[in-house]
Amino acid sequence: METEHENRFEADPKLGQDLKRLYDFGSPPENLDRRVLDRARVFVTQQRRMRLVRKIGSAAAVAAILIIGFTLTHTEPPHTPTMSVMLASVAQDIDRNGRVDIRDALKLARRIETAEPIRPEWDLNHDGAVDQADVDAVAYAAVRLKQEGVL
Amino acid sequence: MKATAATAILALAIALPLFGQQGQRYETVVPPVRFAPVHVVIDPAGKPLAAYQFELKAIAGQVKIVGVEGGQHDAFRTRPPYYDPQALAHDRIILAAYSTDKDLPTQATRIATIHLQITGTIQPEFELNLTVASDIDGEPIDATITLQKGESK
Repeated sequence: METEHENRFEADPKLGQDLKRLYDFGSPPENLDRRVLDRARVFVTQQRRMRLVRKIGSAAAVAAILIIGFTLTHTEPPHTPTMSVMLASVAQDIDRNGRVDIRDALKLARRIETAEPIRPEWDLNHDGAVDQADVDAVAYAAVRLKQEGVL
Repeated sequence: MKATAATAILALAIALPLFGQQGQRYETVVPPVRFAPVHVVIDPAGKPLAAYQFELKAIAGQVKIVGVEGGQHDAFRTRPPYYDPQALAHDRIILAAYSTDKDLPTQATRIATIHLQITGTIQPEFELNLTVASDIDGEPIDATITLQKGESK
């Protein structure tokens, strides 16, 4: 409920003059709106540019991850037989023709049967004797599906 | 309101194909599986065959090697041929054997039988490559290799 006092409120003229003196900044400059608009445009343009850079960066990161993942899962390591494998292959190559095949097993078997001189490196299973087990080792090397290189 | 409409459209999109499928019958087609041997024959053309090595590879059809048997001549029957066990359940095998017996085959002889599991209706085809055929001294001999298809089971 409004009181009679509130309806009849009038400011003191001196207070009015003081307030005017305190808060009167004069009229705004003519190009203020334009300057505010220009600043806003610059800000929005910068924001858009940043957003674009972020999107391109994310896409590049995803592409890099995909490429690295594909490369790691689809690239076979280069075929580099270890020294022990190469030495074993050389020892299995009884006839020294550069490849291990069943003829190497045949020749070793014949040497064992006929008691011809036996080289110690033909002890392929390192059990101290050159026997049928070593012949089998040569034969199995010959039929192995993943052939290792021979020196 | 928009969410309700979107939910209704989604429900319709899921339900409509289900209604459409009523009355249709789906059957699972199981490809036929059979087992068949292939016999490998080497003809050493009159020379005594002491060692052989060949590679067999399926180039058509769905084939798995399931077993290997020795040859018919005594020289290659008593001892089974050498092969990589990894060849089993695959479509490629390298098979080899030698014999130091005095009695060696000099005529065409079945040197091995390879048992296969064949899936599907495509007739399998093979690539056969004789890499070694030698006499008792390991000297190469001019031999020919052929494949004979056995009876399916």
